[in-house]
Amino acid sequence: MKYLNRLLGHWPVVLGALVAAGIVHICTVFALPSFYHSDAYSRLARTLPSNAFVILPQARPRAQVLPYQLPATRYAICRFDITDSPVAVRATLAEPGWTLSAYTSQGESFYVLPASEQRRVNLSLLILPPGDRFLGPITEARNYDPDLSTVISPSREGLIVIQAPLKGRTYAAEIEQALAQIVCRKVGL
Amino acid sequence: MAISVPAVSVVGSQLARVRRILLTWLTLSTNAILFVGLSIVLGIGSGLYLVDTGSRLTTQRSGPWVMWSRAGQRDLDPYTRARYAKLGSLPLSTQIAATWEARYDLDGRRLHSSCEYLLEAEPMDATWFNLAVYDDNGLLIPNSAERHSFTSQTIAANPDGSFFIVLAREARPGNWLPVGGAGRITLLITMIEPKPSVVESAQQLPSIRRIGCR
Repeated sequence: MKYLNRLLGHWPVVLGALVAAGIVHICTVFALPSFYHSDAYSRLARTLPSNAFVILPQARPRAQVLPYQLPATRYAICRFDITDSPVAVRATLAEPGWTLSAYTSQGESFYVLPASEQRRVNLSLLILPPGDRFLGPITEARNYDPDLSTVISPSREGLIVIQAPLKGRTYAAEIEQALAQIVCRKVGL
Repeated sequence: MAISVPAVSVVGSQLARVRRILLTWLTLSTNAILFVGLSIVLGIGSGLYLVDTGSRLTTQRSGPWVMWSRAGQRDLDPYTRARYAKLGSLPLSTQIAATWEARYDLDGRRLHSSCEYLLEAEPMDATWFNLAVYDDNGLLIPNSAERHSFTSQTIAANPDGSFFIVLAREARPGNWLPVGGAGRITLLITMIEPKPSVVESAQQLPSIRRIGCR
């Protein structure tokens, strides 16, 4: 109470400090991501090649690629870089529970699709940077693959992540085989 | 005598002036320290706190379970962005999944590996779910059973779909999740394509009751 009374005795300063604290709060929250160099993209960029899917080993103690990685899920990740050319992704979401997510290097998901309960989902995506740099050659690419869907990525680098839930150990080989079919590659437009 | 009086008066006024300057400086510096200290401690402290625990604006809560409402979405709010940059994980978008985490039991006590917990849940209405246990840093806990989670396929559920899980160091009958000597632990439920009722009311999330501690 004594300290509170003393503080209240300086009320103009306290009021000013509260306003300044609000500004410091906003700056802190916006600046925090740049202080953490262990975000998911930075961790994966150190080890994964660009424009190719890598099937991560099943998460185990002391062998986890990411924190809070699901132990009963297999991950296939493509670190894309569309600075020079678009990237094509072909994948089949084989079972209910499978998902495909595309993230920017800042961790924002700009495209997400779950498998359907009724049927397998076959995907053919062309990941493009913002702007119209590659718009001409896309028409040409569509002639070869009419089902091609274009997805604009807000950033030139990012991640395509396919998550395949493990139904049990007996299905592990089957899931790995299905993941081995997926493709992520640069398109020579 | 006529000469010494003005001399004393000059020294006195000089001293009073120095005293006034010192007092002003002291008051100003006290105010400055108070201002800077309060702004930094409150500003940075509240920022870190809200990034760690979330608020009504950024999270949805049900008992001890917390879900970051915009996790993995486009145009993240700065708190959610900072949160996942800090964690280093890749959350599934809340457009297709619900990820709930719990660090406390029903009575608000921090989950700890030295205690035993009973989780009781209603049937979970989702395409697939996974309930996993991690240490305080999001790492899986080593155990000889090599068991770290239960999924909708691996859980032994009752005929009506409800189930229970026991978190304990030593083996327990039924759905047992070993917690080893991890210290503080975190539970994570990931539901893919949950029915809207699961996300809105969150009534199907397990209760977390502490049975006892060593």
